[in-house]
Amino acid sequence: MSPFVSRILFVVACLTVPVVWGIIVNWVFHRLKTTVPVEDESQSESQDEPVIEYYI
Amino acid sequence: MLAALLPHELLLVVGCGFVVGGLSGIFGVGGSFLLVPILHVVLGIPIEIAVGSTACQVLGPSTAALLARGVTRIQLRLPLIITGGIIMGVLLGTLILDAAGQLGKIQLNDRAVAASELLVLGTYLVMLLGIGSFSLYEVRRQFAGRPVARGALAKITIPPVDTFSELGVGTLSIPVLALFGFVTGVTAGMLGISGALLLIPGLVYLLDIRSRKAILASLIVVWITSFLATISHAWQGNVDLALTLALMLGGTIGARIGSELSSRLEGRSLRSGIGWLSLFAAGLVLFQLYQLLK
Repeated sequence: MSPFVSRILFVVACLTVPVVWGIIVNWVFHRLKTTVPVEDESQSESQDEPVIEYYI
Repeated sequence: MLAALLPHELLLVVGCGFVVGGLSGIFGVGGSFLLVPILHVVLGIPIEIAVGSTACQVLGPSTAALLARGVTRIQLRLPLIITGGIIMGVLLGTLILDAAGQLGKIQLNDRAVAASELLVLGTYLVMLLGIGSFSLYEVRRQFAGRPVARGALAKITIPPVDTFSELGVGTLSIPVLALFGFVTGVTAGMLGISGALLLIPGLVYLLDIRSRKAILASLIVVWITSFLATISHAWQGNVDLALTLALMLGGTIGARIGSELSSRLEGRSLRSGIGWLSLFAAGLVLFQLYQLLK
């Protein structure tokens, strides 16, 4: 494989890994939120929302 | 591209990600500005790799945050205008870092010092001291009942100007927004930070945008910035994927715990916490600079 192609593949991998990670994390949090009982939903929302955003 | 990190070193990186993620969760600020100095100073990871991998890992949490919030078309307007300046800024920032890397070592104080290290650490020091001092000053002014004046950039009306009613502000100058993006982009590209640390205070204090709206705008800009910075750094071979994954793993868990602790603290404590945290990181950077130059 030429160095140019392997460089492009590496760039694609570097973009894919964190984006897929983000999609998985979002999916997991979404699942966790939907499994919380209805009466606790507002509380869980206020705690869940910053979890991801605060890390940026 | 994949650094030869030993398993125990990777565990240490996960631990660093966890600690920084926890602090980010508590204080509500970005972790990148802490991660680069820690990875470089504490773990001895080359500065270019620390910067590139940190920029790459930011894409993970920012993707998750954007998916969780959902963004409407009108909300993209301001971030996309700022992005015009950011694209050029990130490219220039990465080129500056690369050029400094190619300069190799320079003689300072009878010692050979890597130019890239000196540039990154010096810029970090100035930025962290500035943010730390401003945060503490702002809390002090608020406490004294004299809040800091806002909207210095919003008063500049270089044409073309447009109204941003969706952000609750009047007219803003497009060239000023682009220039604001450019400065943020240069810093983000050069230091590997997501830019939120500069964007949020910039949007709130310089452009007088409400905090909640500023956070969403910053989130969109951060995603675009980190996407571009990742392409740029990965192309230069400055991203270590194993390091990136380890940081994302530790950071996600740490941020979860930190944000729960955060809800128990009041706003003023959090803001002065950000100030002290920035000054602590500045202290780390200063220590490293001293080690380099002594």
